[in-house]
Amino acid sequence: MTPVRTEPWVPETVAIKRIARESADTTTLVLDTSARPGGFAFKPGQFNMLYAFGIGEVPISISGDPAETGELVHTIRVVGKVTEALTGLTPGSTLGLRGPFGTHWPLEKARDRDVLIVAGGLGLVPLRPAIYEILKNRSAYRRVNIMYGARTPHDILFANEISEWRGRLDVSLRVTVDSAGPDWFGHVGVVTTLVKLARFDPETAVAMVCGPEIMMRFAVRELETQGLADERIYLSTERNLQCGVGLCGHCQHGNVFVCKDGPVFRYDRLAPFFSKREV
Amino acid sequence: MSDTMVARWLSETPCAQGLGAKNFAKLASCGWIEHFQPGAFLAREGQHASTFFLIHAGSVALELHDAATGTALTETLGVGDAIGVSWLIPPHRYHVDVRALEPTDMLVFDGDRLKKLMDEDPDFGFAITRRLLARVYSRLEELRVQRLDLYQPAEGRQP
Repeated sequence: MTPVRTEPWVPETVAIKRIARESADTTTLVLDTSARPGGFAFKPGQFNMLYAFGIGEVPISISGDPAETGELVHTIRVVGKVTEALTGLTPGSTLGLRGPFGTHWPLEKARDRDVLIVAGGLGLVPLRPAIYEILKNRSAYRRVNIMYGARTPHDILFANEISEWRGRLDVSLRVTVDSAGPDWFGHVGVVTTLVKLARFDPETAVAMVCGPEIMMRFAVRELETQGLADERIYLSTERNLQCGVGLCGHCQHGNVFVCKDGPVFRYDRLAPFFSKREV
Repeated sequence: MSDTMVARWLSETPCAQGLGAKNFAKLASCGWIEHFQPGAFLAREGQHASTFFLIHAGSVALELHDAATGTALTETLGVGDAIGVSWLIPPHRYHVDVRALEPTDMLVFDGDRLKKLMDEDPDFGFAITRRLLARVYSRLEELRVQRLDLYQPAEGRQP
C-alpha cells in the first residue's frame, strides 16, 4: 500500500484482501487498509472512487463497518466495463482508491429518536455502515426499524447479516421481495408497503432512505403520509459522480453537487428537483 | 364467535375508522370470524366470489399459478389489510388464489348481504365503496412501482 495521498485527484494503490460473492451480479471487495496510518476512516453514507487500472473509475459506496479501519469494504454490482473489471479482480491484486467523499447519514441527529431505515436493492449498501453504527450504539436510539426490499429472494444482499439482525430483540427488521415462488414465506410487495407496518413516533423519528429514485419518491410519499416531516427524511442519491470534489460539475443536480453536497441529502433540500424529469 | 368479538376486531381495522355507529353496526352484522391454518386456501382463482376478508392476525399470499412456470407469489397481505373486491364487481369471480402463510384470523363478510344493504342505504354504500376504493388505489400505486422492476440495473446507469 502506498502512503496516504492528500491530493483528492490522485488515487492511492490498495490491495484486495478478500472477496465475497453476494449474488449473481454483486460482489463485495474487502481492501486492505491496515498499513495506512490510522487506517481508513469514513462516515456511514460516504463513497470512494475506485479505479480499475487502464479501464476507468467509478463511485462506489462504502458498505463496511466504520469501526474496522484496517479494512475497507465495497459492494459492487456489475453494470458496465469498470464494475466488471473491479469485480473480476482476485485477492492480492490492486486497484486505485480516492476518497472518502461526500456527506454522511445523520446518526447524531437520530440519537434519542426512533429510526427508520428504508433500503431498496443495492440501496442497502450505503446504509449498512449506518446500521452497524446504530446497532453498536443501540442504547443511543429509540425504536429501530429496518425495511429492505429486493427483487427476488435470490437478490437479497448480506443474507447472513440480515438473519442475524432479525434475530435481535431490539430491532424490527422486515424484508420484502417484488416477486417470489411458493417456497418463499416472507413478505411480497414493494418496500414502501413496509413503512406502514413500522412503529415510530412521526413527530420526532428520523428516516434514512436509499434505493432507486422512483422507490425513494414513493418511500418519501409514504413517510409523509405517516406524518414524518420532510426535514427528518434523508436520502442518498447517485448522479454521474466523477471528480468527487465538486469541481467537474458532472453530478450537478439543480444548484447542488451530489458528490460534495451529497450523496446524503435532507429531503427538503432535494425536493424541488427530485421528481423533475429535466434535472 | 360472538357478535361482540366481530365488533371488537372490526373496530381495530383501518377500514372501519370513521365509519359512524350506524354504518359500523351494518357492516358488523354481515361479518363472522374464521381461522385459517398455514397453507389453507381462503379463495381460489375462478371461484365465485361472495365474501371479502379483513385480516385480524397473520398473513396471506396472493398467488397465480401457471402450469408451465409454476406458482408465482405476487403479493402478501397482513394485519388490517382487506382482501377482495370481486364480490362487488361482476362477474364476481376471484382472480387469484389466496393462501394463508401462517395461522391467520379473519373477519369474513357476506358479500351478497353487504351488497343488499349498500343498495338499500346509499350513505352506507358510499362509505363502504370509498374505503374499498382507497385500498384499491393504494394497492394500484404499489403495483405500479412493483412492475417497474426497479432493482434491475438501468442500461448505462453506471460504468
